[in-house]
Amino acid sequence: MIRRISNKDWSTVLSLTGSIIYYFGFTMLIPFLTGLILREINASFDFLIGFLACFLVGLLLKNIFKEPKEAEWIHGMSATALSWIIAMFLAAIPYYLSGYFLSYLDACFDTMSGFTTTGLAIIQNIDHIPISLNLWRHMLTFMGGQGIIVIALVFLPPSGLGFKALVGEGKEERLIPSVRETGRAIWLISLIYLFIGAIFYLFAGIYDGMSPLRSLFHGVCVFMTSWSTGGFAPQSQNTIYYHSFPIEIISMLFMILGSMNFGLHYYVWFKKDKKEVLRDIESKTFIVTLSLTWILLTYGLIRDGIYTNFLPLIRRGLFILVSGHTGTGSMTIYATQFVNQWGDIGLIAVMLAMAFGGYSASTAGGFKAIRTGIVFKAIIADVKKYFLPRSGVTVEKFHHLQDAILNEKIVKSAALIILLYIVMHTVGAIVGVINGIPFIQALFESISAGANVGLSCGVTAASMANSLKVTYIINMFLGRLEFIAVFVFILFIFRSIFRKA
Amino acid sequence: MDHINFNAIWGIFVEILFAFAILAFEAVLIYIFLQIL
Repeated sequence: MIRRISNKDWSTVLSLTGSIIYYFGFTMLIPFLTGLILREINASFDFLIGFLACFLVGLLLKNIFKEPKEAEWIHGMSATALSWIIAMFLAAIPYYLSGYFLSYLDACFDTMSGFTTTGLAIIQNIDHIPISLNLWRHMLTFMGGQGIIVIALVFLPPSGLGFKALVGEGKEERLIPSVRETGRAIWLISLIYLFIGAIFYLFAGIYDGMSPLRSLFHGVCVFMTSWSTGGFAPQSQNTIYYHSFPIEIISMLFMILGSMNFGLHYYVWFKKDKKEVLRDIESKTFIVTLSLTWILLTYGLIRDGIYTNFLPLIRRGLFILVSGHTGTGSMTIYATQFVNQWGDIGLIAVMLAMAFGGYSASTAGGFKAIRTGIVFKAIIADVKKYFLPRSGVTVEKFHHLQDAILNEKIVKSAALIILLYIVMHTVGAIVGVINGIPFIQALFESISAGANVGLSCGVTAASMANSLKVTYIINMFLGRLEFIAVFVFILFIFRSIFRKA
Repeated sequence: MDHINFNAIWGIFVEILFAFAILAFEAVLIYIFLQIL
């Protein structure tokens, strides 16, 4: 029987949501203070207003509804989906007040794009926005990224194989301490990498002739965007701006590291066995899909004579491919070059890479390597069956942090999510085509939004239709939360409206 | 020196090496490809 939803359940969800919004609001104080120090008074007041809005909404929800002692899966998932939506509306306030967006919808689009680590941007005049606002854009990506990993490791399937199995906390009552524990580990890993990354970029920037302070600001921003596989950049030209091979290499490095499973990071850092990196099914799948799409892309680029030398192929081709595959969306070519220069093979190769995506329980989007790997293994296992004697039975295994048996349940859930992604990408493409965009470009942009990548072939702009903006916002949201949490929340609302059913 | 986790530092090193190895592998792949075409 399906569980009934009572007022107590709503109270738990709203209270959890309130806490998230309340604490989230405090992060606006960082750009607020930055603005004050840099004498960007107007910008810092926008953040103050945003902070107060979050503070009020959070405090109200938190105090009206009692803090739950116990929370179940449905509460966690529903609160996640709800807080993501409310946070989008609230975080869009300083964006909208800044005056760099043509409408509130545009501000919401950029906020959702940041939160979901997508990186599509329709902000106006990026090159002249206040530094505090620029910092806030990158912070949104970084925080959205950290948030989603906590959620992915604790709530989302196949969570049984994730962090919970490592820490050994599987009981439902212990959900909240488990979230706290996971969150702490993730912040530790990210902050240490932030430190290492900032140093890498600082020296690369100085080497390329930037002043140390400017290099540090850009370094921190670009690190946050690479590590959280976001795709924003401090200026409109994205990574092209730097014209720097060292920065491109470092970015590729951190994009790959950022798209790795955080459970794996934890395992490699704190357990003795380092070979785990190579043994994991996700690493193997990632290397295979990256190589296959890379071969396709290079074939297309060389055949059409676009890049025929080694270096441009690495700096443009491989960079874009890694950027797409890890769900980052940093670009070393202009958006229009995809269509005008690269041609169909290039677009298709990048589309495939974007759809495959990075590791699970990371900030990367797309199908995720574990699902692709599992489905591939399941197909092989099915074919193998025909070569067995009539009474023969085989047990297929895969390795993801620990050995696991490939059972029907795991295969089904992986295949279902992949199917949902494909349906979503198609729907997004159809909406694009309805708005008069050629199919291949509409599909490219739809996959980019739904897989939380952020590469753009020029469709995303402030001038695009509102229906398309809303569709992309929904796709980014669904793709980020991997459908299930959103569906749980929808059913949660549905069950509470039709209680007697 | 007890409070420094050398195991974790070694882990970070291994991870960066791994990411670099992926990039190097793809670079070698493209080099071979260029020779063939």
